[in-house]
Amino acid sequence: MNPNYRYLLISLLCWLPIRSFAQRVYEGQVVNKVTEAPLKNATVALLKAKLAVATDDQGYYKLVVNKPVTNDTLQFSFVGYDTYLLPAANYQPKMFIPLTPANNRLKQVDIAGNKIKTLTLYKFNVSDIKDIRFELMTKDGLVRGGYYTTPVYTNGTFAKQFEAPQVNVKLNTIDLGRRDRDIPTSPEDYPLATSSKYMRFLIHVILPDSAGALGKTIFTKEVYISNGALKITIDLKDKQIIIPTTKFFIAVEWLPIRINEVIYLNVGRKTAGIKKDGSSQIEETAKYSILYQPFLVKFESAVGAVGWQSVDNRHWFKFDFRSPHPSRKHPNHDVALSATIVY
Amino acid sequence: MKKIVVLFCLFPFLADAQGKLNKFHVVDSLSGKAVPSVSVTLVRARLSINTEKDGIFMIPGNLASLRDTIILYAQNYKPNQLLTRQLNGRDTLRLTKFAIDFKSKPAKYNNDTLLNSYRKQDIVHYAGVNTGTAKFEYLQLAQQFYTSKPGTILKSIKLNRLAFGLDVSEYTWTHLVHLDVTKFRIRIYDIDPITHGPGRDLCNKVIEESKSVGSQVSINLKKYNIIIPNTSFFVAIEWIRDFYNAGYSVAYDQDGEITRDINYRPALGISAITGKALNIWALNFNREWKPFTYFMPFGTDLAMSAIIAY
Repeated sequence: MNPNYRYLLISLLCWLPIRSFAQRVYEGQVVNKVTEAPLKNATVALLKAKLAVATDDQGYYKLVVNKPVTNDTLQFSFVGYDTYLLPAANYQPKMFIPLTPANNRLKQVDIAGNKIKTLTLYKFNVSDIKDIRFELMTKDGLVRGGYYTTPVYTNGTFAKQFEAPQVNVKLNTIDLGRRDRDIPTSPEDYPLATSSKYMRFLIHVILPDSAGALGKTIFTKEVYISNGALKITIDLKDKQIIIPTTKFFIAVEWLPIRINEVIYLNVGRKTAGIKKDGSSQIEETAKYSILYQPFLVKFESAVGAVGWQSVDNRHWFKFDFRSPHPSRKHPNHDVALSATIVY
Repeated sequence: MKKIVVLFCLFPFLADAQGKLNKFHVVDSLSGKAVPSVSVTLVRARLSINTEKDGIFMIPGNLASLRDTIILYAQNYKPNQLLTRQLNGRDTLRLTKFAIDFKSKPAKYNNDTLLNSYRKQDIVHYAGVNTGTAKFEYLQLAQQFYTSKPGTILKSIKLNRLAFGLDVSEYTWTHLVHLDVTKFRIRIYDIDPITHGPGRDLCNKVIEESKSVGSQVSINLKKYNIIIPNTSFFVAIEWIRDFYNAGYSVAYDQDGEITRDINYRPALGISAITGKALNIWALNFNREWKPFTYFMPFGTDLAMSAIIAY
């Protein structure tokens, strides 16, 4: 071990006892266990520290405790749902907390469901977008780690194709999954991209042209996110979006603006000088790639999807859904982008 | 290995166009000794580098035909501004020192105050990187601080900067830690009574943070005995635009084309403060201080805190 690092390690170990008294942050999303819809205004409390917050539109909570109490418990509660208790020691970053609807609540949903049909196209589950680490043993006995999901981003627009069961359906909500650009593949690693909870992007609803390709845009909405929610629900119920065709597209357009900027570290090479023999001396150096949020989630899926991407929203190219990793669970891949329609 | 070649490599496109190399020595006008780490800026070409300790830099091309302005500057020296054609036939450029008396008597101070505290976890943006929306063409970034009374002493500062490979607070590091190393200088300025931006230097010593690795940088300034004469002052990061700090930034321009620029470390954290009062100032290649509005309204302050005593 390099002597400098040895010294550093000793210094760090000296710090460990101090850190146990440091501020703690709990954040994540509270969702309906059955529908996985976000629960707004659910209460998240730390029982011993006596701190509580309410969830926002995305069911997202952030609880900052300056003086953590030993053996504390997180309590998640919402009217009409069973209360969920989680020992604070078992908290994991950005957890989804599923609250189970109480029995009387479930009956009401059933009655309402008879009046109108609700269907989620390309429905994905929170388990699909949650980063689950895998490890593979290579032929030479090395263990290599990775994640089942991969980030999706373009310098333009990504559009996914949907097929409704009939014409004139009403688009109620759009859900999309989101992740960081880089997630460490082991606990010892450090992410090689900056991370930001802030992002702004456009959502388009596009009809097919006469040839079935992307045609007229019938609805556009700018979405602003200021929390770390991994599942984002865009409520469009009051927009009265009626889709006159069975086939339609939902597109995410990236905005190259400052708030969306993320810096990703690559290794570059620079000429550090010329040696006496005339040859170049090459050194490794930091190469920062500027990327823009959001990072959508590509995950392994039983059902394959069809998507397109474009730089100018005029010329579209088929999106490659293949994963850089060989399939393990399913042969197909999807991007976590769903549409809930009623008809 | 000759350091001067290093500087030549920073102007590769000029080098391709013109074969001639013009070599210059920057020296102190009185002693004739080399001035180290001179900031050399070609204003029109929007290029700026720092010399090594030998004060030598090179400009490729025919100087008689180049139409540009060159500004030479080093701490405690008067800036020297010349037309590039005035360089023709010269090999030595002189800088004249300021005559400033910074003597001040050490005094006893009992109370400390922390100014502009920030939370590391909240930092999501960094200044100092060429992006798809703007090139970072500044020599210094300064954070403005406010005190309750004049005559305080600046004891220390802490700042956050972009470092991927090693982060002391997380106890982790990667094999890429060598990509994060950087060095930079700290400048302390009084408030300018006319522009209300950074004014005269409050410390004539060179304060250099070298071989910085982690993201949190604490600098003890006690030994410099920096007295703040007014109720506002500035702490600036001065980039050392040399090969040690040089890396690349890659982005997409508005046409979707990939751009690749030289980028100098460090990138400074922006405090997660939203407001109307902008407290960041930037020194551009013309050596003019301007409010740094790039992150407004999100980022009004650098992730930089200061401890003063009174």
